[in-house]
Amino acid sequence: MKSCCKNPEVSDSKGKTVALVGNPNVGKTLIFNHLTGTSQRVANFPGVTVTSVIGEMHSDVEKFQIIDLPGSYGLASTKKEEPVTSKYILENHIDLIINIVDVTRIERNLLLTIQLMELGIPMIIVLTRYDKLPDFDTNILKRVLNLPVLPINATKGRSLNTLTLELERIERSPDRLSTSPKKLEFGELRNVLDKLYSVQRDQEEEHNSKHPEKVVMGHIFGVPGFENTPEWMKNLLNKEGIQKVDDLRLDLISQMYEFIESNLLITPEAYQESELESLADKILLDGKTGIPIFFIVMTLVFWVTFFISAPITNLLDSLLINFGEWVRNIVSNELMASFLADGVIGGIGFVMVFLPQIAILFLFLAVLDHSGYMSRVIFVMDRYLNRLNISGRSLAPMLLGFGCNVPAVLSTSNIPDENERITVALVNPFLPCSARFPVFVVFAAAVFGKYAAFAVASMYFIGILIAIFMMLVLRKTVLPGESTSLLLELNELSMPPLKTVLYQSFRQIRKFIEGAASWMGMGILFIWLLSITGPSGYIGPSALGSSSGIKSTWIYFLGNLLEPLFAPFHWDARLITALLFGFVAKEIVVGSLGIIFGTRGSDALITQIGLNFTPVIAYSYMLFVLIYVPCLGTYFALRREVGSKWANLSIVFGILIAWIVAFITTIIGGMIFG
Amino acid sequence: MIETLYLDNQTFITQTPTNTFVRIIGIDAGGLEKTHLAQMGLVIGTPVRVLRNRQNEPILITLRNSKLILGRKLASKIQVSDNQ
Repeated sequence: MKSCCKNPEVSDSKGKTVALVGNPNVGKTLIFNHLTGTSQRVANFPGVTVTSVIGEMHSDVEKFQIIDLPGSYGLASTKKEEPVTSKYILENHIDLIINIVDVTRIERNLLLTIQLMELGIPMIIVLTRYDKLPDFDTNILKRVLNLPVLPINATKGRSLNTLTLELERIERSPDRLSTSPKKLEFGELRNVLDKLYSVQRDQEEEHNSKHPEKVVMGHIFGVPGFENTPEWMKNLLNKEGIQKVDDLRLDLISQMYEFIESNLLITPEAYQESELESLADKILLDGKTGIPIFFIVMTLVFWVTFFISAPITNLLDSLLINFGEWVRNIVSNELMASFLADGVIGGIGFVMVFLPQIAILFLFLAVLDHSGYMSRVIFVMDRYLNRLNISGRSLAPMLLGFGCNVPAVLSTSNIPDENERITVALVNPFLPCSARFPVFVVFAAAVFGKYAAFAVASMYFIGILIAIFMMLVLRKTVLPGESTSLLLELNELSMPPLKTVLYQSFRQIRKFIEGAASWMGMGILFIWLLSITGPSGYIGPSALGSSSGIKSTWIYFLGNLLEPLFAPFHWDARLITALLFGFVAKEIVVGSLGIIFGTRGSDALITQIGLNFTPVIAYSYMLFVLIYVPCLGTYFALRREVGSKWANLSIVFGILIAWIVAFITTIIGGMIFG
Repeated sequence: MIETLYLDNQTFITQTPTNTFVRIIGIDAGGLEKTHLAQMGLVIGTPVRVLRNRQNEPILITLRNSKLILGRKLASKIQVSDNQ
């Protein structure tokens, strides 16, 4: 299987290219997985983080390359996901479009269908959720649109086989792949469109190109790459009495809806919601009940995530430690043994620490999303988040941040507004993730005695305050914008299809492993190198085993070098060295302090910290750990989602803000405690 | 910006009580927002049922067989009249 490719072009083999296109939440992924099985690879679209997947379907004679494009309501670019789909369709050769239409929302789904029909690409329509409206007459669609229409139930494999059979039939009659859908009548606009296609066709003959409809529709719908309307098109529109392309676009959408209403005979209330759903919505959409329920749900999600993931993490951790020790014992060369045990296996082990909780969190998020619950949460929380100039859509990534910033940052890709998305990703590391908790506990227990719980709680409070403050600053300055105008479909409340949930989580986990984790592994190897060598040269793996050994390493040397910067806080090189380890992962801070202080177990470390540091020093250090830099995993997640410029700035500003906060704490603490 | 809130039987969707059937008669928004609304099914002439409209909350509507959540800022740009 090929791994991800920079350009989403399908492979150069001779297979026919089939694109799955439809509105969001119509069951596309289930159909894709049924057709392609495991032969899938992720396609990363240049410039954006939205991923799509390409897979293959083999039959007796032909191979189909099937691409699952992100859900889209139409060709126009109005949010982040849509340009990917329109751009792909307009810029690549596609032999067949499988347009997936949810029969319960058919009127709005058909807008995309009719827009796709204009492009001249052979097409078939698949009607999903047909079981909800079994009386729906598919003959009207077949007759009016003159396209094959296959009603299926996407959750039933037998039903999906009709699509496989249809593709095999198409393959046996190749003329079907050269038949363009008929052009529908939109009154006078039909003539305008035909004239535009005709002029474009003449122009393309000079350039030996064959897609006048794609180019014209690209200009009309403002698809990226087609934004600049050519002069000839403006002149032609003016002659037809149309002032701007915008006017033509809106007229066309209106006419398309009119066509659907008058020709496809959709009754206004064809699908009725159940009484139970109506009651559930009364409860979930009301702030007084919906918000407490939401907080209970999220608490349960975190609790169950950590409850389930902790033993798995521990098991994997101990398996890898044992495996590492076994490798260390059988490899005679000490350096090679340490490289394999501490560097390679240790690196994989570190990724494993993240993986169970990330997988379970993504699974829960997919369940909440596909059950229709998240759109209800967005509804109840929107008014509060609007005050911070962000919309309800940004809530999930922020809540995930309290668990682990890595999946939280990755999940910001669902926020449609670019500035809002970058803001939410950048402030995420200020929300204390679970990995920082042990640092807070150890230092608070060491110096605050019975007030330790308050000291730990204050970290959460301060982290949230800083995140809110930074959000306001960013939205007022470099990433301006009002909260995205909320316009969202409220999906039916239902049991999410298990397969969809599993597929979605699996794709996100794979995205995490392919992206952040591989870099994290390299980061670990680098730190390992710095910890077995020092200014005197090679020390060897024994450096990590003793407090005197670690003092001769590059890491400790760097800690010493940086000591003057932290002089106002009275921190010594031992604390600063642990901060350097903390960049790899916040979990390592406590462990590395244990090695540096030469203690075994957390109780001994708490005693040592209590003996060595004052409450002011400990509290300023806790605050610094809370704020200073995202861990390596979060840093690479940020790089992936918002680019290296913002990811690097987040490190610079993180350190700066952490320093200022620690400084203020030291001054105020000094005044209070003398 | 259209200033008059009530003009005979015309109003904005933000002023429309819960459980009212109305028809869209004007959208006072920029090109991109208008396209976004149109793509989601909100074009002039579309019949809309306001399912839930409470102060400070987004507005819940049904149109073309689906439910949509409409932020108040956006809803304040949509002019409607009685669905005659």
